[in-house]
Amino acid sequence: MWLWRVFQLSDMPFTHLRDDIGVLFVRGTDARGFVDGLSTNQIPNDSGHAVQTVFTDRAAKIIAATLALVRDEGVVLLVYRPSIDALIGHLQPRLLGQDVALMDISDRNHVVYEVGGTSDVEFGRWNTHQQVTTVRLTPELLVHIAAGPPAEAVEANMTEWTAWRVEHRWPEHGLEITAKRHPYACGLEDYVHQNKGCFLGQEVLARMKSRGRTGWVLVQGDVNALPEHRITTEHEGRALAILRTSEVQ
Amino acid sequence: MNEDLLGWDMDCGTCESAPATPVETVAPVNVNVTITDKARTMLSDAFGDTEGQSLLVGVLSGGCSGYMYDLQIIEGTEPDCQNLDIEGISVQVPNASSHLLDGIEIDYVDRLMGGGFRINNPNAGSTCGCGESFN
Repeated sequence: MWLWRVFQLSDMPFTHLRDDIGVLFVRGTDARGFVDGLSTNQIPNDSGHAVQTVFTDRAAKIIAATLALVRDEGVVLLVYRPSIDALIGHLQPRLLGQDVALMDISDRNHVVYEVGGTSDVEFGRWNTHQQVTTVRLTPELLVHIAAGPPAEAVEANMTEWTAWRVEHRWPEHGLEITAKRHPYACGLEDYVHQNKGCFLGQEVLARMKSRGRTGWVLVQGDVNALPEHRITTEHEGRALAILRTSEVQ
Repeated sequence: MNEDLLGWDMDCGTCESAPATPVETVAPVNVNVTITDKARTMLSDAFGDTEGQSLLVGVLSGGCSGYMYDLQIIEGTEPDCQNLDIEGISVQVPNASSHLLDGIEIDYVDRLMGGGFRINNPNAGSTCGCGESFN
């Protein structure tokens, strides 16, 4: 019964309005290098690329996990709204006369996730079609950014989104991704580039990687098989949980 | 693409009129810089006989500790910089990073690995192993 339901949900395209995701435009000729130097992933030089990257502190704790869209004018960051102030507070003292301006344009735009939709956009790229900018995060998951308020037809579809997340071990801001955790603890391994060089928190993450000990790890499993106090998201008998690596069997 | 998503009038890249987030700028500090004898010798060698050369000491964002030193030998005068003459060595410090550089000592470490110019900074809470980055 449960398998059938998840299969049906995950097979059905749906949109998920993300009014909790804001848009921070890091603008200027030094913007790409600025974002690259302060976050975990390598930010490509050319406009049209999109990468997920995390701003971390010295202890590699997450300040903001973002999706970065490289444009000619700078880098657009999609940021969990409750993290925007912390991110701006982290970035501002480091501007230091560089040609970088921070523009919080969250109120002028909205973000929609779409699961199972069709688009020509390739993984790691963004493009704009009929005034909607689209990024492909996985073969199934698209992110759309557009100006103005969302159309009424776009719904939150939280149940479908939660089912998809649990099925795909996809961490969510505020649940799995929090300021108490480092990227490896909450399923953001792919956001950390191993060879890009120094960034704030890099030494801690590199040490974890080289020793093979991240301390914590995001797992997916049956609710009954996971320690209740470690569960972060639950849906119809399945769950995501952040376990100590010693607790993983 | 889901048809419901189409039809809005602009995307995020056209927000030309969006105001920049106000930046709290730190007031420039009159910088004191000292240069060790070894560093002065090495800088004099690097400058050679060319007139009008300076050592630009700046700070960039990034590195293991969040800020990185930026040392360059430049000709002429950079805008918005403090110009210092330290016992015959011309040093320029950008006002934007002067609050992070007041009181520094420029040293030269003479060894095969990890050698070169080194900055001892009393404002740095911590410095990364390579000495290029500080917090």
